[in-house]
Amino acid sequence: MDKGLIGGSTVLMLLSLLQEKEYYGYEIIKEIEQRSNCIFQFKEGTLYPVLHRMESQGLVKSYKATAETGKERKYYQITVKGKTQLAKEKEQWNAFTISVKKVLGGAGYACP
Amino acid sequence: MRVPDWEEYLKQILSHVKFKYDHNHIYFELKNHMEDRYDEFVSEGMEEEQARETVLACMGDADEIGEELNKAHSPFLGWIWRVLKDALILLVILNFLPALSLITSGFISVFESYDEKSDSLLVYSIDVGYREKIYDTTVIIDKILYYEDHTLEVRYATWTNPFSDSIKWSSSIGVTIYDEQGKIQANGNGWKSGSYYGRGQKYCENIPLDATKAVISYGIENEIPIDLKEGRVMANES
Repeated sequence: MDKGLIGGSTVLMLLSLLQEKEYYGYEIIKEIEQRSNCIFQFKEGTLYPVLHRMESQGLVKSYKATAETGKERKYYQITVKGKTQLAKEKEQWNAFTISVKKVLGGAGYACP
Repeated sequence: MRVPDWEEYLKQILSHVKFKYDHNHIYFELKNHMEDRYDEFVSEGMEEEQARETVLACMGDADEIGEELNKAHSPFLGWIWRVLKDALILLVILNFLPALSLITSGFISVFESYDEKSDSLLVYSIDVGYREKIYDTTVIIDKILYYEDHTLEVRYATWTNPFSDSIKWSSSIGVTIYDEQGKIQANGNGWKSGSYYGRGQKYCENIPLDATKAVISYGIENEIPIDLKEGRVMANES
């Protein structure tokens, strides 16, 4: 995937990650790379506009703290609004993948 | 390990972000990211120059990132947020100012001093230092002074939060004096300055030296009793 992080299901992925724990930008990139077996490799810089927009929408909030490496990092934390949004996007995503599977699977996935 | 200079790349990104107040945050966040990436590449054995170039390639196009960041950092919303934040800080300061000034004591003199009564000598004074919040107004009873001509003076101040939208009470106080037998006088003459913040002096005449209690009334049904027997500082002893 050489497409940037902007748009698509990125918000869903980020919210889902941040629900587990608080991350700073670089950790998010590493985490997504590992979990997706490097299928999702994107231009790293494009992560930040997405995070910042999510912050201005109130889905996440940020704070500065000293990371394990001893350096100061900007951490992102999911908000209540973010959790609600995550539930909504998950639902949409599931509906979408089910529909795609139905089309791909033909008769086997047909509605009873 | 020498960390390369990302200045040019970062400046190119920031040149697209119109809301300048966020530049610092963006700069450090992106720079930290690039340093982390660089450190990792080098620790994996990559040549420094190659690591530098790979980091830049990983980051992506500076113009594209800058334009997207600019959308996320709307100057319009940014300014509204800044103004709201400043207003909030001001509000907090205004709310706590009376408390702060009380702590620093002699708070009235910060603004202006009271008029000293010149036609009679002081008999005693009581440092009351009483403070109470009534609705949106803080009433501070500073001092009570008693003079040889049997005048009792109450020095006070009121502080109303200018941002509150509730009723503004008449900012003047009433004083009722009692002795052991009961009520002896209601009210007196006085003056009061200011509307949101104001000091006042109230004079009650013909008050006997052995008066026991002064009840300060403020607004509707708010009464502050002050014991005149306790805390007297006699003028001739000092």
